[in-house]
Amino acid sequence: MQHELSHKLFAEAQKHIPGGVNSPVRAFKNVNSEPPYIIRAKGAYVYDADNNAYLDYVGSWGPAILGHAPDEILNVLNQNMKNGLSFGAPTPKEIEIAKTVKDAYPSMNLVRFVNSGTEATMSAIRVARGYTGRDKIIKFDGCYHGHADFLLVKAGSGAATCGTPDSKGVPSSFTADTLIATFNDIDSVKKITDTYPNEIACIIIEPVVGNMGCIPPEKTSYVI
Amino acid sequence: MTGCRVAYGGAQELYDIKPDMTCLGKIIGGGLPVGAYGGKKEIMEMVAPVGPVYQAGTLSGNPLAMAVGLRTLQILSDNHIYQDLEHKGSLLEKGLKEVAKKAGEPICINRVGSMFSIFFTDEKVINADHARKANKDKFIKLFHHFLDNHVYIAPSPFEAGFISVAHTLDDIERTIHVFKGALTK
Repeated sequence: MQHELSHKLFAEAQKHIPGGVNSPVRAFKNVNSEPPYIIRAKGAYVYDADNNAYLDYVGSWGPAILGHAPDEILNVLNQNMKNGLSFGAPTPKEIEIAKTVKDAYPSMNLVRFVNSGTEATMSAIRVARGYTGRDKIIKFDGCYHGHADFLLVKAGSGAATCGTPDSKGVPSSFTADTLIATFNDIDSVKKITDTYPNEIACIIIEPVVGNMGCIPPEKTSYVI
Repeated sequence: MTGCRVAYGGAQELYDIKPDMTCLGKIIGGGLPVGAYGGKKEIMEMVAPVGPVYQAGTLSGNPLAMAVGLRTLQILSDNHIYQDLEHKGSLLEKGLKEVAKKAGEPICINRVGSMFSIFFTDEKVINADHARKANKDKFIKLFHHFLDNHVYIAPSPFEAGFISVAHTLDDIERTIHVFKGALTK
């Protein structure tokens, strides 16, 4: 299989973008290689610069559950973009999607939209801390919740890919209130809650872990 | 990652959990950049402009992302989609396990619906320590064998694989066949 054009593009990219990529895992360092440059994607397939087709199990790291670029979604995009790209103002569509999300997730009475999962977790924890008046949070070893400073502790693939489990540039004071428990080990959680009674603002968990590989919960109902 | 992936209503639907707060990303944007957080009314009323917790965003609720996300959710609300994904996932899991067993290669396959991982280890992987102990060299070999045979899995042993609605049974079959080639090489 030819990778000549991808190879050239990656060499060029490294002159302009750190490591040639906009998110570390894409650099293929973890598999001692370099990435194919993706030109287009449709259905279950992605196509690289050298015109190789690949059956894709990455799915843009999760979002592409319907397959890549479904016609129905492209049509929606086409219709809507004629009205403008961004207004920074309320729009009717956001009411509709909020209602739809609430229907799917009845535990949510109110929902706020942001630009990424990183923003969602960072903001949710701010709210949890604001609501409880407590600072400490519990997260699980290997769970990645985006790259907010205080969540870059034992953060699974994102950090593991770089070979640096904890990122430089994060002051230790920022992570001092991030307490780490072991996934599938309720005693490790109880130990923390016993040590810091009335100090825990929230427990953040990826219920099926995806960033130390896929790891399902052994048991799904706990009372702490 | 689990939101709208392991079930339309995420892991909380699958496992019947009622969290105080929920964070979503990825699928709800239908391919455009979106995240969301929400929860109980009294908690979420802490957020500005109602409450004292500040949070804002120039592009938050971007109209294109909202439109594309909305239609994606509407399509996904059909329960058949998740049955179909579970079917494909179970076929893939079964096929990979049979191949590994025949080849005498100890592996652990973890899967929930359309989300899965292959670990080269003879123990059940239930936490990060187990995942770190799995054989990385074997994973790297598998990754390259897959790529050389036009199958693109995540370039890291610490990422999950995702099956989509667009994957056909032939695609699954071919993946199992390529996996067989990797283990018997």
